[in-house]
Amino acid sequence: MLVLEDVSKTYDGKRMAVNRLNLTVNAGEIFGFLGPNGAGKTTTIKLITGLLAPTQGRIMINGVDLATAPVEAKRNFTYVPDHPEIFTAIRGIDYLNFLADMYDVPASVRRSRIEKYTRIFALDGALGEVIQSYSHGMKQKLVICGALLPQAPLFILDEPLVGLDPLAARHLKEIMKEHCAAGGTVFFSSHLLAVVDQICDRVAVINQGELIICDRVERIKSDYAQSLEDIFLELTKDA
Amino acid sequence: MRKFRALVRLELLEFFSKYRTGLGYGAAKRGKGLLVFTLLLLAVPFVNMSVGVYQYFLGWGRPALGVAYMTMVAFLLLSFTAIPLLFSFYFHSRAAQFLAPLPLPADYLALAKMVVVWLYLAGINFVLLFPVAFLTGIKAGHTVGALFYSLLLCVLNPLPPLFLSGLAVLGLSTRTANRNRKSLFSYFFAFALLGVVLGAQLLLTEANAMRLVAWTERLTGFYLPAGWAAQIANGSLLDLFKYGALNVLCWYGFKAVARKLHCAALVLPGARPVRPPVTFDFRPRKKYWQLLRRHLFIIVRHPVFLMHTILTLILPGLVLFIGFLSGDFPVESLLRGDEQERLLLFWVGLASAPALLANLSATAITREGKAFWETRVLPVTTWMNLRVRMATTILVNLAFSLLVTVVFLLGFPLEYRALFPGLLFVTMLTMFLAATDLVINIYRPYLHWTNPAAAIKNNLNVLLALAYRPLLAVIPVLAAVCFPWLNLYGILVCSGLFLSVLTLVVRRVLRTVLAAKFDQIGG
Ligand SMILES: Nc1ncnc2c1ncn2[C@@H]1O[C@H](COP(=O)(O)OP(=O)(O)OP(=O)(O)O)[C@@H](O)[C@H]1O
Ligand SMILES: [Mg+2]
Repeated sequence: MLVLEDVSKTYDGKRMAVNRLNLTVNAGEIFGFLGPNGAGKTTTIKLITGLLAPTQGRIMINGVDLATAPVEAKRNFTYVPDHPEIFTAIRGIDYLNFLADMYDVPASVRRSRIEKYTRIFALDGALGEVIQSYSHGMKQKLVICGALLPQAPLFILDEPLVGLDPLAARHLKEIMKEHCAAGGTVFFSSHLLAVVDQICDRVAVINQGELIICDRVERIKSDYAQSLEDIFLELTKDA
Repeated sequence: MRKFRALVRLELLEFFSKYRTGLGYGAAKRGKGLLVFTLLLLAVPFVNMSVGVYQYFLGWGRPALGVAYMTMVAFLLLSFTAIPLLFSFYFHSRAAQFLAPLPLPADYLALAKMVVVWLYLAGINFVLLFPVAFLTGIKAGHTVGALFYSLLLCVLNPLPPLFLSGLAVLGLSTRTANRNRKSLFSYFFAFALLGVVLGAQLLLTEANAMRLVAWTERLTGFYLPAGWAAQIANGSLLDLFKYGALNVLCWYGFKAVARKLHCAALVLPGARPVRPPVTFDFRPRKKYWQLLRRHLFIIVRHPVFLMHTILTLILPGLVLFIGFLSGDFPVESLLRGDEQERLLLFWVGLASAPALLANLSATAITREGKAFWETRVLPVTTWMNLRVRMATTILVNLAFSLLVTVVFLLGFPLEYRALFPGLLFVTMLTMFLAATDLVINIYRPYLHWTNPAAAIKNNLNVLLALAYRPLLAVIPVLAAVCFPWLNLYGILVCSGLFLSVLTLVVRRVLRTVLAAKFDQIGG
């Protein structure tokens, strides 16, 4: 579903924020992307979403090269950034309709999907209000609803659980699982190891832009015979 | 005290970084030299004005009255400068987020900002009031004393207007909880500032002299510090003492105001009113239309952007209207309609003004700010993303050009056969400028603004866009030279066609070369 081949990125021409990263995320899995602060998670996700251009390497999404066929590739994923900074002078419903149009969500299912997701995240009451008046968490939920709306095959989230209330976090986890059960793929970065342990099929850990490990969660745990937290701390101790 | 000094330094740094990014210099090293250069450049007309005022009042044998006049001009100027600054410092502070929770006395936080504004105002006084006061002092026979008194005047002068502006900002800020509305106010004051500078210059005519001297004397009676300032320049210790005492009073008032402002900025806007449930429209729309709507909304729903756009659109009309009223423009000959060519030129000039002045494309990317990523991850081509931005500019500008045309046709007897050449020219000019301005913004995107006024107002992009416009005059001139048999109608058609070719070229470049550059922006 998502393939990164030898992807590198440097901001200043000297230090590599992402260094020769090779990753394959298979269809139908929930993939956790871990690493300490400044490891390069957000940078990697921005590369995958086309917000940044890689210094080197190739990114394939659902078999489509992001560099040569960006529109085709972008149809295959939706993205929730770490900070929900969106244009806020419109109403919540306008935002969702905008995204539905951009991803060609058919008119027949649009209404039911919007109602379903906004109800799950308890936003249905606020849709008629301008986004400016939303709290940080509400904005985050709105962006998540918008990203769920197209039901694109790949769902990319950057630290999605930060700022969500426990109930919303629970719902989001369920939705991720549902999405995968229906054949979709989820790629998300997180610092919450308990959550990763709980829902991910596979995880990758990066540190200082380099991939340290990428494997099934159970495999890692059985190899090291430790909790995920201990393993994480040991792996990222300092390369 | 050490903590306080550190705070003042921090606020100063923030101020200058805002100033630089506002001018579009970014954080580059060379920005420093440019900044100093800009400041010096800005100072020249003020020093010039100050010396001019001295000579003017000297000519009437009342040099000290020049100091009074300048003190009053400075009062307005300082107030109108201070109000937006105070808004910016207290309500758009980047540092406030992390300073507020620190274990520092609230008074320190509140006053540090005031001190920076005060320093800035003292600086303005130095170029505005110092020259006239110093020259007056020399004239009165002091030398070292003149320097000393004039400098003291610059130090004493900012406090009363600063105190009053603080009160005004406090009043305005309690009336609106909306941050955007607040920056709208500051925007208004920036325009008022321009008005004062222009007005103070325009008043200094020979014909006005008697009235101006009389009025300055009368107003000095109302604003006592102006009279004191005049006497201080002449070397009066008593008036220096009076002004000093007033400053002490103001200092206490201003401490209280600063504290109140600081608290007001921390208070969150009030609770939202509960609205009844509404039914929504779920109809699909075309992508192009949705994107266009988004960009239009960015202009319309931001009070500051809207205000700025409307002001730049109506400004030429306003100037013309005033010109008509004052009799500077020969309106009768135009109304008779026997000079169709002049009438045509007049109309084309007016209808082109929106494209020439409201260079919306130059900030088409900047305006989006931190929400810029949104359209970048969507499955739409980069070219459509760029095309929509240009279309937004064209739509707004042409709509206004058409409005101008309709109003013009109602008022003036323009021949209908002039319509086609004129409209062709205006349309092509609008499309061309919408494309070239976007090139500027692609090269100079600035997405991390917090104060919307900084995004659109004193952005270097806007100045750059204005700077190359005079070059366009080459096109009609070239048409006239190459095809000497053409009349005005022919020249307009010819220029319009030439512009359309240029537009195609620029759009081609945008689509191929610059689209890739656009894809590198931000992230
Ligand atoms: N816009 C930028 N310009 C320059 N360097 C950057 C930029 N964004 C990130 N970096 C650098 O790239 C490296 C990786 O940053 P990134 O944001 O990808 O980390 P992260 O893994 O998402 O961290 P966190 O867990 O804190 O979100 C960091 O060293 C950071 O300093
Ligand atoms: Mg991150």
